[in-house]
Amino acid sequence: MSGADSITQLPHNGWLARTQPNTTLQGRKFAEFCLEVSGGKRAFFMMPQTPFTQSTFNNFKIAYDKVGGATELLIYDDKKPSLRTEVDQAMRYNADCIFVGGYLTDTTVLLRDLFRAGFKGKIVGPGYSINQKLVESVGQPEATEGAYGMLPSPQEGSNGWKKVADLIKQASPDPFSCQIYDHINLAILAMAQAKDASGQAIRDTVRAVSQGGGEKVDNAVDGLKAIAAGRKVDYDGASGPCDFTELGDITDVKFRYEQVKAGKMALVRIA
Amino acid sequence: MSVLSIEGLAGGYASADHIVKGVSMSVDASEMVAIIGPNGAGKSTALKLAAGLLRCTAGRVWVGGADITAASPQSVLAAGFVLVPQERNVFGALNIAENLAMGAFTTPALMRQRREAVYARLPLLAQRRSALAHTLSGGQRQLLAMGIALMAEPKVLALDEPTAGLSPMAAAELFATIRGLAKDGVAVLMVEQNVIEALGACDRGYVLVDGRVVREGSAGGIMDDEDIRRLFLGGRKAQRTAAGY
Amino acid sequence: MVSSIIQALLNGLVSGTILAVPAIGFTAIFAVLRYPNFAIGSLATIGAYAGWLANVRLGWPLEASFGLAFVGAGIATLAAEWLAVRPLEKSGALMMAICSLAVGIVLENIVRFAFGNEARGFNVPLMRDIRFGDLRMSPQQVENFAVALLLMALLWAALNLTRMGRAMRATADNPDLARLKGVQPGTVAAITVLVGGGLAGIGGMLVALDTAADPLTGFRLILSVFAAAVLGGLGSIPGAVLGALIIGMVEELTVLLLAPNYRTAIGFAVILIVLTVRPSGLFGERAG
Repeated sequence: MSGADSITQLPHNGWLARTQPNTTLQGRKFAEFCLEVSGGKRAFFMMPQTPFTQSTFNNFKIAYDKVGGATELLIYDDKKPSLRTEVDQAMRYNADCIFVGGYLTDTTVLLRDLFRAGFKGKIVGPGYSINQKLVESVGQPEATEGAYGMLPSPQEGSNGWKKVADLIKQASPDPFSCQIYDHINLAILAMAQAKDASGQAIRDTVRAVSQGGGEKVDNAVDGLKAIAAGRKVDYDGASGPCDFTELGDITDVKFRYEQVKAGKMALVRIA
Repeated sequence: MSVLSIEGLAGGYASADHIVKGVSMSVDASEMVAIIGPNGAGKSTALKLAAGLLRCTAGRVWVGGADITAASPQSVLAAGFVLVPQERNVFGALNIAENLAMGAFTTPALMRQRREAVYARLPLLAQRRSALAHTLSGGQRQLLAMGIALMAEPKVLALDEPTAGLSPMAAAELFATIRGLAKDGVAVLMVEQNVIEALGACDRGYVLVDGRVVREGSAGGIMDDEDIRRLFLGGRKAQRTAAGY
Repeated sequence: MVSSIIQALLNGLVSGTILAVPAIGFTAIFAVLRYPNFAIGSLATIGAYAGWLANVRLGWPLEASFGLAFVGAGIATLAAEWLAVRPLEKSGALMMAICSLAVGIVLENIVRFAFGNEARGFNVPLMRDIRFGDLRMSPQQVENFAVALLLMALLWAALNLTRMGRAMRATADNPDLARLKGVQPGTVAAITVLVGGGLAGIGGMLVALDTAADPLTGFRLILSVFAAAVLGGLGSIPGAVLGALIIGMVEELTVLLLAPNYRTAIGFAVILIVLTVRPSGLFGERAG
């Protein structure tokens, strides 16, 4: 599973479609949430060097620019044992929101240093680093209190999601299991629609069963019946609505928003 | 009885090479003995074999009746045999006081007392006691090397080319210092390239050629020997002139 | 801008002082055993975890935890030296260096196996910074700075005022003569390895105190430690201290004047420049 923008920009001639949201989508979602929780228009974006740092920030910035906001990127070295000087830079920017885009270890360092510096604004980051483990590794509840984590989320509560939960016997299936479930259903439906069990058939007809209106189905068995009856189907799965762009990227995805409250991760919403 | 007795000593840098091929020597208390000979004769190697720095393949070494053949450095020191190597014979990064302290490493309780004795004998070291050894001149460095050796209160002092690289004046001063040590009872065995000066300063000499003693006797006797004069001394004189002395 | 440069230098002074502790360990081991011990990073990690174990699991105060960090890392270093590196002595310094690199990877994975991959925070209150004017400093930084200075003072005293310390310096300077004077090379090597590894361990714990202990705590340090030691002159303890201070400050200034992600490049650049222009470093050994 990759969210890197460059994957679908390869000349794949339509052979590629993915359910993992790309960084364009994630960058925009990050920015929208930062704008919302901070209520201000100045964000400082801190992230280590990764293949998706620049593209995530570019899309983050587009969203801020659209509302007349300002944002600045600082790419830090995630192997540095202290990020004090980097935090000084962030403090000088007078941001009302800092987006921390690193992984668990460097985000730990960063949040400790932000606390020491007395940063009063909002902190938002990806849910793979802002989570319960972070609260524990930072060690000081006040330093993480109020920080937000957000992750692409499966369509919690949907029929597809419930089916995955039953299948893998987990109360809350992870997004990746949900995506795999959707991959299989979509492949089966596309082959049924094309009446041809080949890769070519999947490539040509996947969008005919995944989007464009019609009878909502959340599994292949129901979908096969509908297709056999000659009805148009629109698959709505466990990971999300599963609608794809021309390039093969998912058009929308739900995010799970959480916030550290009293040292525990509390669900804000899934949207 | 001799303080130092060496009998049939043989060996070299590796177990296979025999640079020294059965050498016997002895030095009495208060005696200064020179080992002379052409380059490659095995003079320095003989000293290193005696000190246990190199492993001998045959022979025995006694100091004051104790057998120190192939003994550990600690035992050799304890027996009273101290070798002053030709090169790297001081600790350059340590100051003079610390260098002297290292000379009594195995006898820490006696260190301070002995160091005062060395300072008394070699006042120059006392004056510059906190100078780092690598800042010393060649003559001062040899003096320090001697001082380090004295910290072990040696019965036998083995010196490997002590005057190498020194000016004639510094060499003469050093010989005088060594003579003073001998007068106080130390047996001195030295390897020297400056044959005339060495024989002038010493009581006896051994002439080593190709790993064997070819001549031994009083310093005066060796110096007067026509063969020896022709073999080494003449050659040396010619070399010295050529070297621009 | 002026205040931010002063602030960066201040941060660099503190991080450089902390960096000096493992750098001294690294350079001391090189001085006596004549090979660069690249396991020093993982040994710092072991120190961080030993300190964490003492502080969090056993509830020891920090001072005692530093002790366990020192002892734990020291023993690990000695074990690695005896079991892995020493048997290669005849093959030369390069083989020993490569072996230490492998030992480092093994140790890192032992840590992962024993403690997991999560970051482990110490049981120390995270305090807000002390501010004076535009500048700020955290109480933890001040404390770590003091610990590092105290440790260096202790080490200086041990090396200069004790018989064994003198023997260590003598052995580093002239191993043949030291042996001739009755110093047992094995004993000196063991003490050096124990102390050098112990210092790396304390360095790891100092870093982890400010952040958290994780399996890569020491690995993140290794390039800076190596750069500091090379800059100061491999084998020179004052050199390692000065090198660490310079590297610490340069790394912080990089954040301001260049871009933060060039930090690693700076480490490599320093090593490259020193090796090209002045291979013996600032306080390098005299030739011969």
